Amino acid sequence: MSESNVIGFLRDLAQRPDLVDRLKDKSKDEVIAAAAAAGQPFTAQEFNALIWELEARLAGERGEEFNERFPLWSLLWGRYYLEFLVFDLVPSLDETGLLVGLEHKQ
Amino acid sequence: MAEAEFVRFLEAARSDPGLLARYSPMDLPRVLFHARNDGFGFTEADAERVIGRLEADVVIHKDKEPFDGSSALWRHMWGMRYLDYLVDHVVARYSREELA
Repeated sequence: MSESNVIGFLRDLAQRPDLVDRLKDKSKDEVIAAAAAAGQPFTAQEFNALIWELEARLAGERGEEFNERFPLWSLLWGRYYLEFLVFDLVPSLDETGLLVGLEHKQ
Repeated sequence: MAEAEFVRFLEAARSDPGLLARYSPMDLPRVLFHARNDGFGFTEADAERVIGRLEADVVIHKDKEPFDGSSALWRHMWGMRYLDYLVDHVVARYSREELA
């Protein structure tokens, strides 16, 4: 369930650039607290395992190695990490269909 | 040895807050272009190899942790731009001698 909260929270942020701006310079714990306050609780451990796995699957889907040369990392430059998650990683996972079945059905 | 040029760039960013502030908001093509103007001759591949090596060494040898999603280093990526993270939490873990 919390896996879907991670993605749901990042998706909600994509619709709220003002909130991304408010949270982008906050620590991981503060962002996780903001997610809980927004009704999408998840733990740091759940986030870590899910995002690592999805990044690895994204590399596989693209036919690339999941290592230091993975082109995804080049998108980190100039970004706050939260901006990268919201505006680069989640859209990439959507483009490759890797989030199908992971989220709550409305 | 353009990898050494990227290390020199990281050390310049560590020692010169003005340089770090100028480069921190830039995406990678801009970093590469402006760094060359500033006399640093490195490519994206050089940066990838150096960052990969430095991060792996912090996690595996300095923090003595498994290299996966749970590595403590990654939590420092939050709340700052990528170059600030690299300078403050990766490069800062090394002495000048280790980086040479």
